[in-house]
Amino acid sequence: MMYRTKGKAVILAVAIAVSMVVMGILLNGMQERLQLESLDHEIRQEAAELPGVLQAAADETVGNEETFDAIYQSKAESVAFMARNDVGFEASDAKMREYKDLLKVDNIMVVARDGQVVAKAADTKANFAYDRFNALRVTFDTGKASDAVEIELPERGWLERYYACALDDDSMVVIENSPSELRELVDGTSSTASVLKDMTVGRNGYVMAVSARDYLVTYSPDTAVVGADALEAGLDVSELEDGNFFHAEFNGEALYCGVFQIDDAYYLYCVPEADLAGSRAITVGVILFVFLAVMAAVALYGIFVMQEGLRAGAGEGSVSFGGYRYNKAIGKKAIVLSIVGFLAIVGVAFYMQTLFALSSQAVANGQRCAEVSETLASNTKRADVLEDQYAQRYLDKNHLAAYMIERNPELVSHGKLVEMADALQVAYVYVFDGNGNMTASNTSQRSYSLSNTYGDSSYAFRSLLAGKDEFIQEPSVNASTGEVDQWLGVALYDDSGIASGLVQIGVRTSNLATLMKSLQIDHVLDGVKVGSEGFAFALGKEDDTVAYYPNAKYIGKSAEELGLEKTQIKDGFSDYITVGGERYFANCTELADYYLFVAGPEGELMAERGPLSVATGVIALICLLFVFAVLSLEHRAQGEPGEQGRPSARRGHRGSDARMVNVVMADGRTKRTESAVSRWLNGSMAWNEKSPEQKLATVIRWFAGVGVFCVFLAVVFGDRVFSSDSVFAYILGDDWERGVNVFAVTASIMYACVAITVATIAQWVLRLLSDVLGTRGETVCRLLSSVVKYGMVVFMLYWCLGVLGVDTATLLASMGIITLALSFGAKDLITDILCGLFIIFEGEFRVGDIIQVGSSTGTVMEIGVRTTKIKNGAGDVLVLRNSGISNVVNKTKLDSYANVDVVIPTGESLPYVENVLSRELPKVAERVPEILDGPFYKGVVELTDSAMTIRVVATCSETDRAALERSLKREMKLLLSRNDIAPYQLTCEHDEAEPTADELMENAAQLKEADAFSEQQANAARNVGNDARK
Amino acid sequence: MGSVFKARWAVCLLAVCMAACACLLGGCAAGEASGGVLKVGVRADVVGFSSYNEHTGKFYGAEVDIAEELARRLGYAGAEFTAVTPESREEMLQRGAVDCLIACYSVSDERSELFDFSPEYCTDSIILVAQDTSLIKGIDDLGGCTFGVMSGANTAPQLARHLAEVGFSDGKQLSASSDGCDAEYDTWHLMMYSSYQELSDALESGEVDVMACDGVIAKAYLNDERVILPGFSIDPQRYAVATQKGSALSGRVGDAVRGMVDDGTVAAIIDAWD
Repeated sequence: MMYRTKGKAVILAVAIAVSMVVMGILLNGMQERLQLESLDHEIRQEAAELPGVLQAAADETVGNEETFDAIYQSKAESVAFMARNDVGFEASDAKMREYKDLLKVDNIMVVARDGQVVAKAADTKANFAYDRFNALRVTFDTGKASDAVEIELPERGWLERYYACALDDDSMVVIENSPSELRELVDGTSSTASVLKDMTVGRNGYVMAVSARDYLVTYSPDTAVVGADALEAGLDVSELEDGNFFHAEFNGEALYCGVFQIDDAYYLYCVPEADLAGSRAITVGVILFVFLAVMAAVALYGIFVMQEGLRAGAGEGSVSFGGYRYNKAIGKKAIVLSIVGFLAIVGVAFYMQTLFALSSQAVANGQRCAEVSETLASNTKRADVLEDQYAQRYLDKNHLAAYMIERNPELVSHGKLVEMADALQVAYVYVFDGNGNMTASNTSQRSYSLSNTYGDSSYAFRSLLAGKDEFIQEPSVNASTGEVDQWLGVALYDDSGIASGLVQIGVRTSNLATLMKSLQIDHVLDGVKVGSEGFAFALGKEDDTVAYYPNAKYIGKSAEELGLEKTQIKDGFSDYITVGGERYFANCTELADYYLFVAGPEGELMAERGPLSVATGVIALICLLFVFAVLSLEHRAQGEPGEQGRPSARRGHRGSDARMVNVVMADGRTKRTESAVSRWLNGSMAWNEKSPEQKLATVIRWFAGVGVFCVFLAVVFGDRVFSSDSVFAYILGDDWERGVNVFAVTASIMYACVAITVATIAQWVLRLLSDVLGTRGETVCRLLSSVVKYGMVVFMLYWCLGVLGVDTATLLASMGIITLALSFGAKDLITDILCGLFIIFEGEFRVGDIIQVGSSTGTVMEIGVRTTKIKNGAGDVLVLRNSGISNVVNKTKLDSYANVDVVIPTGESLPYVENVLSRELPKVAERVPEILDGPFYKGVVELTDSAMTIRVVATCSETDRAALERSLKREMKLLLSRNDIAPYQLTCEHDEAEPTADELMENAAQLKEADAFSEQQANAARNVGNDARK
Repeated sequence: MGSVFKARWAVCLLAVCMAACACLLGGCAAGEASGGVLKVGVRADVVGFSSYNEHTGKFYGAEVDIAEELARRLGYAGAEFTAVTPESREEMLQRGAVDCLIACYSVSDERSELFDFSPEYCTDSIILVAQDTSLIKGIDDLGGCTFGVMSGANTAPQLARHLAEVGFSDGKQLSASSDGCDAEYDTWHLMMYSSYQELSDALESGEVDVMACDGVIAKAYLNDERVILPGFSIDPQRYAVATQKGSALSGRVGDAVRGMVDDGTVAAIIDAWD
């Protein structure tokens, strides 16, 4: 039998180990597959949009280039205009240098058709004789400024763009300028990098571009990688095929990648494996831990029960079928444990999936929010820079116009001004005289005067006649054309330096407007993606209306119409929202003018949760069924004795140190419990003394202890192990919403784990201290230990309620009021409830204990919230109010003592009596089965001049004590009489004669009859007349 | 005196014997290379075919993979790569610094007289690339233009022959600089550069008007502002593995390459790098 138990234990251990491995692999694999599936889906979706996005970016780049080129083409044309219109132009180096400063270009030259440089402001690296510059010579045919020719040779420090405009049939003006400003603009707004930078895959994934030509990384969010050889960094060239998904190691980081080829580049959607594995590892780890705990608990419990059965001699009922025997006792308990364990596993699996899905979404949302607000902030700065840049550019044109008019007043005519506006590429040119009256313009307007009324838009230009050199007006909508125009003015001076008029130009700011638009919030939010369905939207701060939403029909609506509540519109919000009838998990960030929301739909989040929980449940069920079968079924071997002998009434280990006690519950079931004294002893119980339930409790405590300690370590050292953007850090951070949600609950559990660990360690230290200190020290230590325990409970309750969104300060205050109110009506009720709680917390007694409260003694049936029910020996149920339970004597102990005092006359020979007792007491022990040990002669307990009282005691269980005392008294009477000890002798005189054999036999027969009667009567009256257990 | 003579004779004899042994051993090593490494001359600057990475000190590309596969099939433990340039490769193979060349080295009649060639593993053609701002749209715009080629490659003679064949030029070289890098023809001008990067830079700066080189190489230097001149190509350039004339390796290399071409290995490798 022992051998069989061991065999089963081995089978179970192997089974658990195997099921752990299977569970681990299966869960991990399944979660990975689900993760990758959803990633694939997301990547494909994004990749499908990529060509369009890149095309748009390319178009924008072309637009940017055209705008940039137009500026310099206009400058070249201006020079040509000046050359044609006698504004002091000459092909000399000095003049070129003057123009270079005036036009704010890097270099300006006059070049002959054959490439000969006639005049130059600075040296150039270019040889215009080469065919390379043929594109410039096109200007001789068109008469307009040429297209740009760009030369980029970084090794020679040569990056220039060239523009030409014909001066006459044989010479042209060439402007040389660095395109670095253009490059910056393109990099910032429309380059591939600027497009890819906003793309994300999964939570921390990104897009990387690799040239299909030379396998160099052309874009990666990690700028250190840009320009590196992708193959050297670890990518396999055979994997780089359009539409391929693969795992790769890139720069030492494991990635999951999807590749798409567009033109000459591979676009790699990369997700760090660590991200995937990280969330997997913790989820799977926690589920596995719970699984192990449940499986081990069920299996160990079964084994403990089997061992106990062996020791007690397995006499339980069993049902046989086939060649197997079903052990009912183990089976029943194992079933209950299995069901509870199964629910625990499924619950934890579901909980962990929810927790990780939500928290990683929250982390991703938060990151996205931060990125967007960063982008918007830098965009605001960029917009300011752009505005200044454009204003400066327009002003340059205006100054140029003034320069020309001052040098050649004949240009002030409608015809010339039209040409000039063309060359300068401005919409309007107006020239005013010293009185503010228009002298000429490029428009059909006949006359116009600057307003004399303060506040009119044209009034401000009068300041130019009053000594101001230049003036820039804010852009405004032209009432007649509906276009946005901006007006600038520059003063004209006569030879003596007195302001003699002004030149006003009007420009269309559409280019600037287009540029500015790309920096606006809707343009930024348009590119924000969270998962495959997630998106961002923004609410205007002033009126809470939707400023941007991917679906245009919501734009302009109020937050309520969208489905948002007031409480959700605040900085740092992170919880579920319902928008347009769909539930999203969203984060909110407050920006300068907007509330920014980043949201991911619930369905996408929870896609993994269901299947994984079900898979976990199914595996757990199979494993539990197997363990159950191994535990409760055993092979029926032939010839094995069914019973292992009767349980002996005298247990092997006795005495006051025995700490396990059998108690009879009110309904008659017998259970083992710890004796009252043992509960308050510090020393732990020997393993073998424990009941299976206690062993199970110990095992579960171990598991819980390990779990709690792990959480404690994670919380305390978490910031060193987990990065700040990890899910774990998120839960420990305070960014989630207070309230009953998965984060608050998790955080509460985690904080509780920390508190429990700290309290346990403190208690352990105190216990160690109490061992070495004296009794006073021990008193203090026990008191401190109690304080630590209650302090921890109260603090945790207060803290966790706070975390769960209960306003604890208000709660405490209102508690006082409630108590005050109740103290009049239901004071006792509150007291009862509190007393009940304390009885349970303090562990004064448990169900099944035998206690004495005041004069009543009985078995505890139930500890209720308000009352405690005790069944006394007479079978009456005493209902005691918890507040009334004081001065409790807990009599739950292993053995009681029955004692019998017998009064004997002082004259009797004590040695004779003691000899009789020594002879007779063992016989008594044989005759009375209730006696567990003894009876023992305790000696003389009282002595007077007439009588002495001797005491005999015997050990028994508390339940047998009253009956045993009766039996013992009877036995004492019989043995005293038999031995003729006064005054109990049968006859009043000492009979010296030996009794005859007949007399002896008769006495024996009589005694037997009396014994039988006494026993029969005692049994019949077992449940009658037991008041006060007498 | 006599003993001294004897001693000298003995030393001479010993030296001769040792030399003979060394020759024998050397012969053995050359003949039966199994287990050794195949020394392959590859290009260092043709991305996609064979390029050298300074960080890793390794060569990458289709030709590198082909060489490794070839070495495996010939029973070598591996391939050892040496960078060769169009100028140096022939000399290095002749000298025996490398066992074979897999270096975008195309088969031609002149070369066949010097080396043994395997069946070709890849074909290509010479193309012309121009900057689009030069407004050169086709061969008709090339009159008087400067052609840039890589020195050491056989592009220059092929180009001269081809231009003569299509009637663009009479094919006669009018003058040439002492190093031959700057030559004048009747309707065009030839410039030679020692690396493709220099050639490409010359095209960028305008020193040369068109760049003539093998298609696979030209691809690496294309960008938005460059065009391949349509209607011009010199076909075909057959890339093959070159070995020393009459060497024992030639036959085996030829067979192995034919095998690799026939079973699709080469196509798979080139496809992967494309």
